[in-house]
Amino acid sequence: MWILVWQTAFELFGRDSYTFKPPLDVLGALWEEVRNGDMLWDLLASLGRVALCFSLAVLSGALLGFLSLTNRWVEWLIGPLILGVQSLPSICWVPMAIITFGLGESAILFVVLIGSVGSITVATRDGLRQVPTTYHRVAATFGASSRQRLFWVSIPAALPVFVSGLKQGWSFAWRSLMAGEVMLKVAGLGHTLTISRENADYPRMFAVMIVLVWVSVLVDRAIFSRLEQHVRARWGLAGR
Amino acid sequence: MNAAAPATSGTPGVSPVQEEHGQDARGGNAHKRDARGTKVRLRGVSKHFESGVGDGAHRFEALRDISFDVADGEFLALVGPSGCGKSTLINVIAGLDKPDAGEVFFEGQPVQGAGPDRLVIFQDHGLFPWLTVQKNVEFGLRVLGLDKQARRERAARYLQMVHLTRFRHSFPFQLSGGMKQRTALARALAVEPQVLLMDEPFAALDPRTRDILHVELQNLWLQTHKTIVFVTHSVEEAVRLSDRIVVMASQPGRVRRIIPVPFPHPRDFLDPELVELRANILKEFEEELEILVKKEGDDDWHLKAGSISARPPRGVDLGLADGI
Repeated sequence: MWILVWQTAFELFGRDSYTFKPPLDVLGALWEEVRNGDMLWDLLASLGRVALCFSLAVLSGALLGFLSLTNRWVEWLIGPLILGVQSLPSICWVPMAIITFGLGESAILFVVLIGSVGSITVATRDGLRQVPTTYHRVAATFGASSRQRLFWVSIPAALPVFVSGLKQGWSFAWRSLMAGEVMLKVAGLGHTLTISRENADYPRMFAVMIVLVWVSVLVDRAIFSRLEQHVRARWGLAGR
Repeated sequence: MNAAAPATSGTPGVSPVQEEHGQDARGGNAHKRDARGTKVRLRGVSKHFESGVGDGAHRFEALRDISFDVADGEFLALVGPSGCGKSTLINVIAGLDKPDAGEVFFEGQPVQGAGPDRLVIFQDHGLFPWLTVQKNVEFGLRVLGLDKQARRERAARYLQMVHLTRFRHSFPFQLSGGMKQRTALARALAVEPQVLLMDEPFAALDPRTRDILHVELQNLWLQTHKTIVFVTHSVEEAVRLSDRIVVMASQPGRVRRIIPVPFPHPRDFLDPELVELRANILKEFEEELEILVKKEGDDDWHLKAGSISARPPRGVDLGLADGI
């Protein structure tokens, strides 16, 4: 149906345009990409990068979030820093990344990491903070050790908030990835996007954009939203 | 120990011999209670809280000089209006809080911290929402280090005791308030604590569910012979369930009187003598209620003497929340 809207728009406005392309051309370009394997490589490259970085972000973010609760200095250091980092749009990190890491993979990894780690850190910290006091008292009255209390009570209780943070972090990671890929010459969807524009291959450009949207929605739906819903349902928070 | 109880008090003496003969398990005498030993002993326990800072700072005396004993197998009620420090006292006995002065002894030893031998059941049940009923009940056992099989068996046994076997795979959000408290009860009993400290466990439930749980708790107590310290603001509840009632006053929190409840168990909740006792205890509260009324109302609001403790149905219930 959207194709119809698109086609109509094209007919009405884009006939003479050099840049606006009709849907059939775009779909044709998409099919071509898929057929000759380029799309696959691009996807793998981009997804691989984001998977790696995001995992790193999750691990370091969780650690940082946890430490900022248990250690006053970490909180003092990290607190305002996280806020600042979060406020800066990912693309603004690219120049600095290039200077520090050169024009390669490392720069992108850095950008993705720094773009998404904030969400995870905040989610971990806030998730653990909002654990109701009653749960802590229950753990205490049953004689649970600190370790038992952390793993059997605090972490499960913090999970809903943490998972929401994961979802948010993912969307930041994906955006950061594209910011990096668009500006740097590495294999991947972002680069293909830029190249298409430079080569005036506009159908291909739009095709890549469609793929980007699809991937983002798919991963969100299939992984993060699912996870979030599952956790919330089990914790009895469904429908809130 | 406040041994003002008369010789025929009928306060609990759990003698296995008596039980075997099918006698009501609580038909002992005062001297039997002494022989059984003291589970908890409080001496001069005081605690205050600070609130505010600087000039506005203000010291609130939650407990002042609390002293009493809890005998083994006894059902002791702590009754008092809001703010009399009942919950604070429970936390202190449990080891969740430290007193500023005085001592708390458990089985002769000073209380160092919280532990499963003095287990607390909280008003908001504190069940973990991510665990099923069965897994919740198994929690304490897991802390104790029991293996899976043993945990499952013990949990099953106690779930059966509270009649929740059918719901063992349900999650807390699927249960009613009464069911959640029964789960909390099973979870507590499963670790077989020496003393059960119950902090207004039924306060959030509707009166009919509470009636059911009163019977349930009474049966469980008769079965398990646990020492129970039960905090409530309902005199009715205390009179139904306990052997002795510690009546507390507020501002500052202190013991007003300790009243024995010399009726045999299991109790007939509608026994007129019980009702009489309740009325008498409510008389104790008139002074407290006058304070409350002064605090929460206009200067010209007074309680007419006898309006609270008058025999039902003429009494005016002003928020002691007996609700029955």
